Amino acid sequence: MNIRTIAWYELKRLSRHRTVLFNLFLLPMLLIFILGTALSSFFGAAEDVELKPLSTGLVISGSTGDLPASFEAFIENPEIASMLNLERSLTRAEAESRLRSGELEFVVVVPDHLDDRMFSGGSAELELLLGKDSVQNLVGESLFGSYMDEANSRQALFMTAAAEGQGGDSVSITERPAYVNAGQLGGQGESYSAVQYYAASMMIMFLLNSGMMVSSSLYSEKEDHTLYRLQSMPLSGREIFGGKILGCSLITFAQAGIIILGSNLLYGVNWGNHVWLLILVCVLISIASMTIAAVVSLMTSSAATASGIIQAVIIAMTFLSGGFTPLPVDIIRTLGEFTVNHWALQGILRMMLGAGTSEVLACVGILGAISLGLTAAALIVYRKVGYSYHA
Amino acid sequence: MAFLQAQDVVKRYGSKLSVDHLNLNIHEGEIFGLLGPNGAGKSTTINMICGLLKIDQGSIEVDGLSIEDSPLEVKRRIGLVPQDLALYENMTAADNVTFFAKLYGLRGKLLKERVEEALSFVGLLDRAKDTPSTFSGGMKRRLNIACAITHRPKLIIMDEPTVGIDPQSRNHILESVRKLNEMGSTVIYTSHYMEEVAAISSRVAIMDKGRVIACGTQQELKEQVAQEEKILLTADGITPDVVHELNMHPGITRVLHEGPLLEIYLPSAQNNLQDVLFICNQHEAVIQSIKCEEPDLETLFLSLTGRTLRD
Repeated sequence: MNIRTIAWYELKRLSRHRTVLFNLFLLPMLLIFILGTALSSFFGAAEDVELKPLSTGLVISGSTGDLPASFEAFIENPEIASMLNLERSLTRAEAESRLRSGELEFVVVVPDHLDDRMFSGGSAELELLLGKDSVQNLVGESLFGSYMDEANSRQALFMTAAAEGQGGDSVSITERPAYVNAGQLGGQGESYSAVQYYAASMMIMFLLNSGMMVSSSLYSEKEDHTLYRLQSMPLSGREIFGGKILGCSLITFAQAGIIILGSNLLYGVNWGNHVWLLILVCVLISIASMTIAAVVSLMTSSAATASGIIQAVIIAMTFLSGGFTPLPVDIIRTLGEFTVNHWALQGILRMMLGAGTSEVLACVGILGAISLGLTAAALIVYRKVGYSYHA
Repeated sequence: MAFLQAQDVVKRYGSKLSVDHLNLNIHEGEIFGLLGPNGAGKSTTINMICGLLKIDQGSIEVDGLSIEDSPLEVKRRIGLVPQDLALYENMTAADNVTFFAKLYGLRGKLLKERVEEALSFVGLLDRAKDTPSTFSGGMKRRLNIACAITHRPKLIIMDEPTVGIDPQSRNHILESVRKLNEMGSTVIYTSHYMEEVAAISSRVAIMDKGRVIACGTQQELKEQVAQEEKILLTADGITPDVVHELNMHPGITRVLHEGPLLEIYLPSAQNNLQDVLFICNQHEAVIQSIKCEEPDLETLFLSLTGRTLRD
């Protein structure tokens, strides 16, 4: 009962601070709008890139001058053919010259003994000459790279089968109906937009930031001497501490609700169909937020120090997890996997992409484990240090 | 049996002894003054009585209950008015009182009645919907008291409740203390203002350096030391002969003379005043004013410790 009373009055007090209300509810909405608008070009869903057929020159190196059968079958596959604008039987010099002049976008040099080499157990190798357009180069590398990967993997299978005495012929890669599947990131056929990305990342950052309320509240009770009075009353320390945490958690849930509903109504952010998992993620982030704040506040000697540490931790975690902008550097991405933000963000993005429950649960499970660990840490620190006016 | 009994209580902070083998018996229904300079150990004693600090040695019992064995039960019987204002500045006066009253278990109609009663008692009912940030220092002090009395505690502890306020508010608070006592509460009143403690307390303990150096009614305390009375006399024409003759009087201990002022120390002013006036008259000294002073708690403390309460 006392926990509820303390939590309720905590809510009352917080709701009377205009700056707190602005920081909790308006600032995230504003940031989602600004970042989502300003950085929309970095995200796939900003505008679909229309790929034009790749103007490709084919050079056959070797004595026969014939195109290997497997390769011939590959480029005649209708889906591949639709993506290529081929010019055959070019000499290497001619192809290089036209590539330099920009007439061709990509050149593939095919050895005429490619099939023989593969039948004798060698690997499929093509020489790829890149042109001036990086996007088209990427298309060419993907297409012909997939041919080489597929040929080599089938060759490996064949060799293994032969070694085990099962016999069999080298499998033609043309048996596959298609090498390129025009796919979609999510089951619902959508990728996330910049606004969606920042709605998720900002919500996570602000929910974590709401731990600052706990820290500030714990310290203000000491500074205003109200903790002294509370401790002279028939209450246990756990009730006082728990009530304050509960009050701040309720504000945090309200904040999550407003960000989710507000961004949906104002910016059309689709948060996916996993409502309960989304709620669970918000609860887990709140737990992480409260426990980080509690641990730091109990272990520091001033409100300013606690606030500084909590802010630094949250900003670092948001940055490492790519919350401000997706990070291309591998090591930072690896470090990001140790943050609360990463797993929360991945979980929410998967929900937004309409991924299956098991895929989302994988992230939520790790987030839950982190929250559990933080809760254990907070309990240990509380037992060791306690929350007392005279501490 | 005493309502509050402290036996051989010791509290240390590191190597510093803050409360040194304290023994106190406070009776039900009395206003007990705890007097001492800053740092004497008054607040530490209060904190131990309220269960805010652990007792290193000894025991404290309130209404027959040990603070260590039944802390919540003891706390339910106590209303603490802290030395520092303990209020939520951005909540209304009514919300402040209601919040603390709820934590004492009051609910519903009773809660509403008690909150109104407490605010009315401290004269803030008409300001119930205002926040303390709009109050004067004295009004905040009164609200600080209201927050501690809604549950009608058997024991009210007031730790320096008049620090930094105007005389009018001080009088209001002292009057409130008397009323609360008349309504049945035992009161412990700590202060380093001797006049306040002397004005309202039925018994007084004087603390210094963590120890109770004197305890009893005011009369008992005055009798504990052979304290002299003093006649302060202002007169024109005081000659060395007057001073000499006064000094030779068997009922006078000593005389200090400075300009027109004479300070005459003697065991009983009442018995010797006539002689003093006769000597002055005999030497044609014209008396302007005369005042007799009995020893007070301040002088008692001075005689016991060699320091004043405000040192």
